[in-house]
Parts: sequence; structure tokens; C-alpha cells
Amino acid sequence: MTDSTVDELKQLISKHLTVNKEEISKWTEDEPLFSPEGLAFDSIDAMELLAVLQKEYGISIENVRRHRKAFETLGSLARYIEKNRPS
Amino acid sequence: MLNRKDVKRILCDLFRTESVRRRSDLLAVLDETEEHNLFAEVSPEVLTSSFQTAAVLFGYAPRAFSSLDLMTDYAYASFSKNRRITFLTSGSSGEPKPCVHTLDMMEEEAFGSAAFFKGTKRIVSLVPACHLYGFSFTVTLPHALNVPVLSLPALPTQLWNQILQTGDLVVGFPLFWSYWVRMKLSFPPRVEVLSSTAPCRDEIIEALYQAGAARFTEIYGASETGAIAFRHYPGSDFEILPFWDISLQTPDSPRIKRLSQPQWMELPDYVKVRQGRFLRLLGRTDDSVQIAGINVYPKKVERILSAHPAVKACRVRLMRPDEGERLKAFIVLNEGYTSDHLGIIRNYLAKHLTVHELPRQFTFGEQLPLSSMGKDSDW
Repeated sequence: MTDSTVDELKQLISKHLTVNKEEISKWTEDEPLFSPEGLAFDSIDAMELLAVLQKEYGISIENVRRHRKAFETLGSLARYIEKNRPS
Repeated sequence: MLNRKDVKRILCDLFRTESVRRRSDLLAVLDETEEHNLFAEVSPEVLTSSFQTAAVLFGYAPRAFSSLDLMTDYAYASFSKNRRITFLTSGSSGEPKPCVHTLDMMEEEAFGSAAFFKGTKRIVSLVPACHLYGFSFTVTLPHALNVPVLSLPALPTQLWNQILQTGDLVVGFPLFWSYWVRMKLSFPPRVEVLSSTAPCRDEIIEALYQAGAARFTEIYGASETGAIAFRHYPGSDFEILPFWDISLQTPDSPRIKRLSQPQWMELPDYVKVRQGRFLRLLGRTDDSVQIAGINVYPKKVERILSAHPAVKACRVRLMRPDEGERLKAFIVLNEGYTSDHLGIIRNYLAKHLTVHELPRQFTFGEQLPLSSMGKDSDW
């Protein structure tokens, strides 16, 4: 996985999910997305993330159940993007 | 008006919304977990709280069940006997308030609303049936119209152009419609759109028409009353539904009552009444704000945040439109604490607040932001 995808994702999350830039700079790729100990995203953020994936990367998730693992950490989401973005 | 299949769907939606509310599974409402798996897969905590809420909804003494089918049978039998459903609405104190809806009220509302949706061939539900809006428009309205229901998670990334058909009425909510617009999705011919739970911005309504919606209907209502009024166009007033009477004895605070019921009720908003039956909404009468269609009370969040030992003083308010549509918090920390303690504070809040109540953005400062006049100000 390239660091650039993680950095790009951080920027998009900062813009669309209204997270402080200072806070984002501390994030590592192992940061859990939905845990209060991690980034503390919630179900409203999940909808926003899905919209970001489609709009920015052309990745359309039609079944969340099948792709749950992708949403575990910042790194897993970045890897999912790299694997599934249209070339 | 309510069959066993409906009760099962209400219970499944209850498990999903409880999973999100208790943060045990934040993707649950976007997931298409099958019914039998749902009961087996939710956490024991979610199972317990779902048992309790279901008991309130269908009016029986709380008890546990070993399967969804047994729970459905019991809840359906209870509804058949009581002929009422009790919805819970959150209050500013955090104590849920029961709102009873009798079968007569449900029928009056369903048949009264059905007249507006005569051409509907199918209802596509994106909202939980365990909440009043979902119940009214995706459980009882389909019976009044005698049409089927397709229940789907509110995923803006579904293949909607393959799912939607001519004659569909899509029951959604403002946040979902704003995604629909942002993602430039369009509607097949003669598909109608319904929205409620929070005001839908005029530019979203305009964009939905531009995306091909045959008609947009916004429902104004509350958990205490059910649907009160509707409108179709941006900027227009809400017209009171025909099964409501309105009293203008005190024009500043008009009261309403169902034609079939004796009691008068206050409206949840300040309104201006025009031409006898048209309402212009002027703002909530309580101090709630709406996050993704759910009423939340910043003062309640402030009270809970203040109780954390790290917090000396705090303010909580809704973000400005340019910042987002969530709550934000400003915190003055007690000595010995730094912004590095944010994770601990968030963890504490997650245990005491619902998803919608959680502030999204935290700012730390030496003192609370005040205007030059010494009043609270934004940050």
C-alpha cells in the first residue's frame, strides 16, 4: 500500500467528515475507524464514507455486509481503494 | 392494518437501530443481514435493550425470547389484543417519552394519507419501521394503498437505476436525499419521493425535481402526533392533512387535534398560519436541533460533557452550515489534562450519548468563547 493513498484519504476525510486537521495528522494506518479509541466514526459518517468512495474513487459499494472488513481501519480502507479503484 | 410479517420487519429494524444506538455495530442500518442471522448475530446488550423496547412498542411485560419467530408471535398477539403501538421519543432530559398510537389513529392517518398517493404501485422503504415515520408510511400506508413494500438499507451507492421502477414511492429522509443529489443520481419516470424527520432544504427539493422525481412530498409531524401537514415544493407552506382540525384561538400558538380524538395538542414548532390550513414553520419550541433527522438537545450533551473530570467548562452547539451538520464542542480543561485526553473524553461520551448526540468536532481553549458583550459566541 502506498502512503499517498492513506494521505489522500486523510485529506478527503478531513474535508468531508469535518475532522480537525491537527487531529488527522496524528492518525496512523492502524487507527480503527469506528471505535471511540480510534477515529470514533459513526453510522452517519459511514454514509459519508460510502459517498466519498464513489465520488472520489469510482468505487460503488452495494452491499456493506460483503465489504465490512474494508471499514476496519484507515489502512484497510486505503488497501481496499487501491485494489478496487478503476484503473 | 398490521400483519405478522409487518411485526417481524419492525422487530428486525429495531435490532438494527439498537445496534447503532448502542454502538455495538455502527454499520447495522446499512447492512442487509438476513432476518434469522440478525437475531443470532447481535450482541447480548442489544438483544436485551431490543427486548425492552419491543415490550414497550407492543405493550407487554418485558421478557426474553429464544428466537425471532417466537418474539414475532408474541408481539403480534399483543398488538392484536391491545390494538395500539407505543413509540418512544427522546426528550431534552434524556428520558424517553412514550407516544401511544391506537389502531384507529393509524387507520385514520393511513387512509387519510393514501388519497395523496393513489398512483403508487410499490413503496420502497429506506427508513426503520420501528420509528413512527417508517411505521406510518412503510407499514400502514402500503395496506391502505394495497401495494407491496421493498425494504432496503439507505445506501446511496446502491444500483438505484436498476432497483427503482415506474410507480414507486421512495420513503427516505433529508440526509439520504442530500447524498442522492450530491452523487447526481436520477429517477426513472413517475417515481415519487417522500421525506420527513427533519426539514429538507429547498435546494435539495429543487435538485430532486431536476433529477426527475415525479413529485416530492415532505411530511411535517412529530412522534406525539404523527403526520400533521405536507408540502410539495421548495419555499411553499405546509398544508394540514385533512384528518386534523386546527384552533386559531391563540394565533401565536395554534393547537391541533385529530377529527376523531377529543384532545388538543401543541405543535412542536413555532408556526405562522395562513389561509386557515397552511403552516409556515418558524423554528422549534424546544431547544432541540436535528442531526440526520433525529432531534438532539445540545444542552443535554453539554450537561453530560461537563460531568467528565477533565472538563472545567464547555459549550456544545450545532455546526455552521459551512462546517457540517453535526454537533461541535468547545472545552476548557481542568488542570492536569491536555487535548491528548480527547480519546478518553470521546469514550466517555460514547457510553452516555447516542450516535446522533456525539459532537463531531472538539476545540480546546483557555476560556469559553464570549462576544464583546459577554455573551456566548460561536468558535
